[in-house]
Amino acid sequence: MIKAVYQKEMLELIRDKKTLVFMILLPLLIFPAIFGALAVFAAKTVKAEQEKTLTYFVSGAEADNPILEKLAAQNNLQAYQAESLGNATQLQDADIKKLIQDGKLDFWLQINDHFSVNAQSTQQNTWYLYFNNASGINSASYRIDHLIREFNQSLTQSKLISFGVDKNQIDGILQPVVLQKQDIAPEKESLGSKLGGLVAYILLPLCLLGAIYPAIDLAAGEKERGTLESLMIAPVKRIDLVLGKFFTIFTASFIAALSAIVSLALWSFIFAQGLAVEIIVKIVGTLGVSDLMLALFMMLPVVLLVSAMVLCISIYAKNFKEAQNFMAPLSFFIFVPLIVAMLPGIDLNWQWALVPISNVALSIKDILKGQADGFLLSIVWGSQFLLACIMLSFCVYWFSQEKVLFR
Amino acid sequence: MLELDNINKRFRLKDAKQSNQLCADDPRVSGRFFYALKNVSINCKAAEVVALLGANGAGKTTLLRVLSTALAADSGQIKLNGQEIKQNKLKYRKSIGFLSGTTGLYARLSGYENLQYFSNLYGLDKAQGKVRIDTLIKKLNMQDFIHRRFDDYSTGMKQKVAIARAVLHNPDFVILDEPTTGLDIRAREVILNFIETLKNEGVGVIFSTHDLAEVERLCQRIYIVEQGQVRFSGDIQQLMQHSQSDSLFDAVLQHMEVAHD
Repeated sequence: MIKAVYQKEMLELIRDKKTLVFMILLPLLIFPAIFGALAVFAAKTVKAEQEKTLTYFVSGAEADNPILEKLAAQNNLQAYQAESLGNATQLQDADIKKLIQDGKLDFWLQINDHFSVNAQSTQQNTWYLYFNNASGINSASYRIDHLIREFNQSLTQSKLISFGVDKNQIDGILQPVVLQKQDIAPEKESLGSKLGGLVAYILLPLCLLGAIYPAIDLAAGEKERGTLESLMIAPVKRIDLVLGKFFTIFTASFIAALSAIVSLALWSFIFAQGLAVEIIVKIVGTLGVSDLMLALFMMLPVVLLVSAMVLCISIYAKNFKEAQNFMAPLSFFIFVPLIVAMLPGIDLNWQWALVPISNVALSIKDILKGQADGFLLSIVWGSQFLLACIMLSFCVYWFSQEKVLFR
Repeated sequence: MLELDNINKRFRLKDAKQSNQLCADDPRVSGRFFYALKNVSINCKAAEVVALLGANGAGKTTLLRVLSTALAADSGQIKLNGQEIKQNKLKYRKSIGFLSGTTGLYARLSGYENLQYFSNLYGLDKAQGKVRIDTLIKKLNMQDFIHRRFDDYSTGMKQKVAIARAVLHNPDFVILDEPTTGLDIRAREVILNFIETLKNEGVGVIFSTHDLAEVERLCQRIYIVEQGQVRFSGDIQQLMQHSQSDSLFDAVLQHMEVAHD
């Protein structure tokens, strides 16, 4: 009987365009398209900003100040033409700031009048850099920081030499200790650690999204349309009805997760081959298909749990609208443990293996890092599965409650 | 014989506000409960058509729902051929067919697929189910539309499929909640003829209606339900004698008014 209910529910589901959108189209096309477009757009924007020729203005510098020469020697920096400002020397500070705010000038370097390049001078000088970083990606600060670092280094060296310090001693004075860093973490572990949380963060909400609409349609929707009553009086055990519906929701949710994985692989491949985006090539080369499959396997008990939860909520709701309202807070129960699992320093252990949702996210992280512990994974799987069974039993109980069915 | 014996059914009211809203003019509200059925007893024999009459909200639908096992009675018994059904509800459900106020069918399936699904649920095998569905399609004249999607149907078409669904498994008793409401003359005629056919085939039919012409045409006995209680039971002649009236309309109305007084 479960099969008959399941087949009918699936047939109805497949004929519903909204379900197909949430179950297949959204994870398959829209999400990767959005993420891909964002990645390409962000990369382009950052690159354009780095290559952009910045216009600058320097005030307070003596003609022989070497910084002027250094600035002029940079390829992508261009001094502001004083003629276009009238008489630049008569410009007030406010006028220059206004020019920056209006986008006519990229930065202003205000130099201390008393600055001296004299090798004997030991005075520390403070210069001021004005720029507009409202967009958050202004590269003026980065470029001048870099320039001033080099400038400082060269000045320090010449001063030390003038003080009689040997050239070979300079490095020892300037940097007595050099820290050579070597990250010996395998690339897979490093990448898996960074991506692991993100994969769960993408997959689990998709599972939820894939489950919610069918659940609402199959329970609250049936109540609203009056079809549930026909089912209740059929000579079928309630558990068969619940399981038939439950497996339908589970299938929809799992297909959503599977679509997301397939689409991630597909789009990664397209990006890697077509656009040769370095990071994606690296990801594709490092993570194996078997890892993704194992990650998907770990998703199974969560999908079971989520399916049982949404069915419970939906059967309690009086109608479609009420079910939608009840479903909204459910997102928090999914997102909070996911965010926790993404926090640095939280790793899968005995305790975390028993925390729903977080445990699966942490498992996926470990799988992608190539550090999965089979024993812990089986605890995670088992505990999630047990929870799903408890939730399902509750669902069967609710399906036999008149006060729930005829609210 | 299908019997309901001393059935009581109450519903818990959601809050005091709902209680106050109903309380003003309804004696069935007491405390936090609404007593929908009080000591109701009815019965229906094989090859008999029994009508349930009563004003809207009198308790007819609740009574039919209890009879169909969609709702459970708080006390009292339902008996099928003298056997209490409590211990074997699934078997009982195979012996009855129920058509609720809504058609209870799936909009995204065709009429045929709907019937196939319910034939599965009622345990008919594939071949048996096909024969039965084809027979009903002919009997209820559904050949022209049965393979179209259910949500494209007119009210009459929907009701025909719903009735076919209710009798698909050859039940001994059929319970129909206002089966002709909202139908045009032709569709109504098909349904009424079908009820007559059921009766002639030995099926007992209990149906609620507001149409007294249907009662005169089909029914052997009448129950008038008011405020959750049976106010009258008997045949049309007895009803008229009891109310000393020449018309069925006046006789029924008299019982309904007495109940409200």
